[in-house]
Amino acid sequence: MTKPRPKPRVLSPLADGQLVSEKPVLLPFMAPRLQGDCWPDGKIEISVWGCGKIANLTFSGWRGPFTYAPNRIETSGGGLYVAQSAPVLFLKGAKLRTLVPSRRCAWWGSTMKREPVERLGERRIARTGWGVAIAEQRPAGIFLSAGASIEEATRALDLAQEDVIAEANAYVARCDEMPEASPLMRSMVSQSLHAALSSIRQDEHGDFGGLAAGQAYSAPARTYYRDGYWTLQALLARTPDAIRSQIELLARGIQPDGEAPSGVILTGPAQAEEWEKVRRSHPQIKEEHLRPGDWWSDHFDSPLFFILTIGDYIRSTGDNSPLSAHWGKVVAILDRYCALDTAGNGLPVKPAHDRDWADNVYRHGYVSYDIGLWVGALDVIAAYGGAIDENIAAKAAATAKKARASIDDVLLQASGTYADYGTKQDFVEDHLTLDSLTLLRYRAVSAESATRVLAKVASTLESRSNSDQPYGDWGVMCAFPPFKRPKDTRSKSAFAYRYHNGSDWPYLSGLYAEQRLVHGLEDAEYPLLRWWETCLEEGWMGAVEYFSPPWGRGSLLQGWSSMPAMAALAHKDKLCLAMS
Amino acid sequence: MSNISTIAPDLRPAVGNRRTKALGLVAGVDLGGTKVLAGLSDLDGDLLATMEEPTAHGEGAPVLEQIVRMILTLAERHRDRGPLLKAVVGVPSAVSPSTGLASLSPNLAIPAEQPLARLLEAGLPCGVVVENDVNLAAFAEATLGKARDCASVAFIAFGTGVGMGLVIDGRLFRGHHGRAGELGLLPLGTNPHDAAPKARAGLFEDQVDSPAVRALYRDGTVPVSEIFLRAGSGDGEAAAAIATLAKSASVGLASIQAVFDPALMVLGGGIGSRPEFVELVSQHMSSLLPFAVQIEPTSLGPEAGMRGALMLGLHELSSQTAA
Repeated sequence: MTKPRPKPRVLSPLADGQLVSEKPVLLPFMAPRLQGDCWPDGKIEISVWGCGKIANLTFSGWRGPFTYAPNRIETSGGGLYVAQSAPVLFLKGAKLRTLVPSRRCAWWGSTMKREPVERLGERRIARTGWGVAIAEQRPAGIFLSAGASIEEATRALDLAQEDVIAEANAYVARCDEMPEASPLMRSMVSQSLHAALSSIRQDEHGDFGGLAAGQAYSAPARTYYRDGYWTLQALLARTPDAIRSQIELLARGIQPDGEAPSGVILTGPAQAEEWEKVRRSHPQIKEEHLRPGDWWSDHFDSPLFFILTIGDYIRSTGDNSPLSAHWGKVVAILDRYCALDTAGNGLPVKPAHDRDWADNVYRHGYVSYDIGLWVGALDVIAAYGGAIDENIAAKAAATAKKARASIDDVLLQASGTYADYGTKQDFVEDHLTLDSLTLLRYRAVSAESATRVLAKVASTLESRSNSDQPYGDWGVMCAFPPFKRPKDTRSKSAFAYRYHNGSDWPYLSGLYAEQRLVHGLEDAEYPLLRWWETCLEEGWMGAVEYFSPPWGRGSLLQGWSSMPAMAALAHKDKLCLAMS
Repeated sequence: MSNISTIAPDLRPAVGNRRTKALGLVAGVDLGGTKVLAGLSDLDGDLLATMEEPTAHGEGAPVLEQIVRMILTLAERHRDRGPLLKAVVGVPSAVSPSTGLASLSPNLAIPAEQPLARLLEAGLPCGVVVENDVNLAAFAEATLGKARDCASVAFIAFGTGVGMGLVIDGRLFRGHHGRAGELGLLPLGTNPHDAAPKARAGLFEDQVDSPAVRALYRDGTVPVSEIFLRAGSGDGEAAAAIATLAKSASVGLASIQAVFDPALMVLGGGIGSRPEFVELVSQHMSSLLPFAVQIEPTSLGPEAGMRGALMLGLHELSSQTAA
């Protein structure tokens, strides 16, 4: 079935790491306060972190070709420049057509009557119950600011045109961390790193406002344990202060019994009030979001990511203070998962629900992905907890040893890979998954086993090597074959090759590439770049969340899709060797 | 112009030759009473071409030959994109999941005792699936439309008639006889036991289909689209007719919500796709149910059935290779 058919690219990478297209392509952008979507043929949707969608603006004046960089578009005579220090952007060479305030802050918000747009000379002010946008036509183009209040939006207009452009250009340069690479690799690193750097958000007072999961995951404003964890891998060495603050936000969601939600809600006051109404009344939302600050309560992997985040922070900075500050929560988590070790083998048994990364799949029993995280979390407590409580640290070390000794017995398959989930007494989903590579990342299995698994991943999950799937060479599948028990899947994952059922998730492809590089294996370029090639082919501007033929893509500018950049940059020396 | 260094000595192309995709085509057909709409997509789901013709009626079932010819014409035009692997045909009738038989209009003259899929397969180089057209529109909503991220969706078409398709966790819910979604038969209204045998199409359908809307306005001859237009221009009588229609429709929709509790209801068809109708229906729902219900107009337009046929074909291919 497979024959050569190269697909033409909508976006072409340039030697300087930018991308160019003849036809306009949607550019999602995200700065500490401001975020939105820009269609270069004349439309912008503008939102503010913690507030929600504020307004739509239409404009004229740009023509292709369009050159794209993180948070920036340039055309002959025009361009989009997004500031970093204030919630304002500049549409160079653009003529303002309309400014329309939003009727609701998000899909779940109440629909409000639009207030009339106020005109003050060349300035138009759009007000909503949750934020304000101001558009001002100036000789060189349009200034567009937004904020939680008229004061914040007005203050942002103080930034001079040249300052906005300078800040935008400096941000582009900051993302460009592999200038020596080929255009394809260089542009991937730039856009993928942009996904992590832009995830660092601020509240209206300029304080740290959490790591956003992505540009489309902002209403209500929230930060996730798992998305945040994979996103901060690229930030540990670059913005350690943000990680320290992130730990404090995550700590808010840890319950006394060690439970934690998928994410912690961080809305501003107006959005918080609106969200709380929905949380208490929406039939599905009220069942999933049990406490006011919870985004989808009780996720199996979240408490483990909390400990892993602390461990990575300590390892990166040497600062032990978050572990001391949150030791009680860490011990509660340890106790919670030890209590789930029903067989006494050091491994927690996951209840049959859909609450971990694979949140459209009812995984139960021993879940490779969660067990990898568990062993990693135990190692953190064992390595750094001794100074606080020797007994607890020793217990963690002993449990980790027992867990490592038990994994092969419950999960290893004849193929040499690790099952996705299940128990031998009941049912085992034995297909190969990329998320099972957490077992490798946290050295829960031997290096020998890891090498064997990685070889199998290459032949099974890299679509170029797997002719049993129907779509040829298109990416790295997160699972293959598709789930064999349909009742374990729901919603998008019920379709073969869609979502958790086989899509390419660049964050997992990044994890896979990282493990190839860690274990000294060649050809990490495929998982690093194949997903990016698809973005260029399809005209998806930014680090996509997931995709598969024929089911399309998830969101653009997704924080954890920075994992490929992280892996490439952390192992640049090996990549260079491999590429020379 | 850029402040990124333009000095980028390539180490070497990180990935060598451009990647290749698999070849193959899927056809989707929406067979209606007045027209046949056929589409062709590649395995990425990209729509390559469409073709529309008036439906061939008459003895000898010329529509069978017509559907085969349209599909083969499209496939031939795009043969460089690979072989035809699957065709899905949507029909305005319930299709029995066990026998594949459909009760189609006598005007089409299709042999009622043979599954349509088998008749079409005789002329095509691939397997054929025949499915209810509203089910296919629902499948399009679940894969391409507003229900893309929803675990369940009920798609309700209000137009010439009324019908529903249900997709729950990625699967079409057809019912044992393929009649799930025959919404027009809901026994709504006063004294339904006496009224049902005399119903024109079905008790609910008689209240909400196009003839019912026309009957609510003046002498009953003004087209539905014109009634909506006049209501939008301030004609009070037209607005009252639409309001009555929306109130009646809300009873059926509340019944669906109470039985299936879908995450989202999407309304389509000539009447259902109008935002003003959806807004009125939503308002009436709030007095019928003690919880909020999410209702949206379709964003897929009149090609929804054909697009759903393509997506179902691609889904069938995925499932076959996965098995």
